[in-house]
Amino acid sequence: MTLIDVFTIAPGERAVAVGEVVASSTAEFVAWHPSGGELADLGPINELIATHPNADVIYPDEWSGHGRHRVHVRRPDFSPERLRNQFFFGRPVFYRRDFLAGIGGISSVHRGAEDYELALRASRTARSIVHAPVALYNPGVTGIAPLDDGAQESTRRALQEHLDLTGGGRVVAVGADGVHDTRRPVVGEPLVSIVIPTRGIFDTQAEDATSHLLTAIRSILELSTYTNVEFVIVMDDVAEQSILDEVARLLGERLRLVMWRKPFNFSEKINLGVIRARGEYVLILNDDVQILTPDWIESLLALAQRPGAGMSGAMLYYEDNSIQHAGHAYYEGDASHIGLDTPRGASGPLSGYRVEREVSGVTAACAMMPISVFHEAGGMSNLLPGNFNDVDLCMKVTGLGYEIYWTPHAELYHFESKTRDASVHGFEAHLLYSRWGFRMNDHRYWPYAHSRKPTPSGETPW
Amino acid sequence: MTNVPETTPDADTDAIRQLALVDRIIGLQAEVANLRSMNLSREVRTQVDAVKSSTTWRIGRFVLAPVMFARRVISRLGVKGASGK
Repeated sequence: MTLIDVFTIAPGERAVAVGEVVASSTAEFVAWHPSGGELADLGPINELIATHPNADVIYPDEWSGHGRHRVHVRRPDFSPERLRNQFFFGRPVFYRRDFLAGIGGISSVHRGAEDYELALRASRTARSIVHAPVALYNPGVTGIAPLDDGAQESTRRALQEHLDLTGGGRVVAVGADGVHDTRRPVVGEPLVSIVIPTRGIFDTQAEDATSHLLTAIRSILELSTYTNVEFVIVMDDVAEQSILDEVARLLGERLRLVMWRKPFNFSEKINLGVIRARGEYVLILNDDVQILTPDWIESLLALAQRPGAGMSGAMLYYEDNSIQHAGHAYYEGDASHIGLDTPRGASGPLSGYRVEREVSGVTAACAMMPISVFHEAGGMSNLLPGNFNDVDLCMKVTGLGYEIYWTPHAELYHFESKTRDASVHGFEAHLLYSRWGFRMNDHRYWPYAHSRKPTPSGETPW
Repeated sequence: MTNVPETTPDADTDAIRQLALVDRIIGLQAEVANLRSMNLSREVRTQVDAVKSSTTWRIGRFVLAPVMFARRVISRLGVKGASGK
């Protein structure tokens, strides 16, 4: 039996054309692509089929240009939450023929969104969807055409059907450029404990001696639409009495104040705060933030409530409106932030800064977790008082089998200075890499180099 | 003085200790996995070194040297590749 049949489909009645060519095939896998593109050797796909007997769907990377201008357009590994916001598969998509027949083949009622709808439908029942990280297809000069009105309407329908069958949600917007905004729902109204470690002092660097903590609390109270929250403030005993009084006045019954009388240890402060928390979910938050989106808690909570979710993280900006954090990436042994230093509003590789998606980790400057997962992971390691404690926590969470998600819809300023001296101690780097060195090159969800080099010389920090 | 409720870290010692204990167990498991991975890398490196020091490898490199040189030149000139791989 032939292993793979690949067909070229001319523009027009796509469903009919694909249906006809698939019906004529006796191969184990079938795939199709638009005319005008260039297909590379299928050898890597043959090998992948042999080593992945449960693969029902396989998608590759693509490439553009030639020679020196050739660019490998990389795709993330299968990410079901990202798929509801973007059809990120490279072409052509290889379907096991029996599986394709079993799910009813390509749809004739989602005109203009047939391939996306098929991928969404396949994702609901496939035993395994495998990413082949090889550049297999070049769409040529035509590239990807914007979705017309009909295709956008078909996409909206396909997405809503998919959401309805996978835990609910709503389609907020369908983009002509293929980047969509769909949101998962918040289930119930669980108590969220916002845990903020702070020194509780005035920022003497600022002109008017402001308190970051008070700015953060005021912005949360003024903007947030989710109200079932408590604030666990873990405050140093050097805190200013006037700040303490104002915090108490602002938060009233919602305040749980914990005084910290030991030397600085961010991890221990967070752990102590979470121990004191009563919520089903904890939102770990730095004190030098300002909320920008009213539904930031809902956005984080909806993802933290997904089955198997361990954490969710937010989009953070520096004061100058450049991105500070769009997720963690662990690339070639270096841990860094996705999107670091790029302008607010940028799309990023494969529009990754614009879509909710799976990530390898998120910063603890703003991260939500089910409190049960926090305890199961042993909290933040007190062996890491200042640096890498969030990387370590994310590694523990994913090591336990939980997923971590990132959302662009929870937006905050994080006033941490761009030029902050991270002061990574040798023992912190040593601990991180002695634990997780073997997982510090994780290309699953972000297969791109960092946007900022780790050091000016390009050296890694250990 | 404010009259907000206040708790002390001392009262939470057991819970903190329990978190630290779980952290150490997961950390030790990770260190074992990391060491295993390093040993595996070392074994692979030893095997690769053995292949590269073999006569067969050296002869092969000598024979293919002109082809490798030509490939480098072609790629620098930006000539269209024959395959999309």
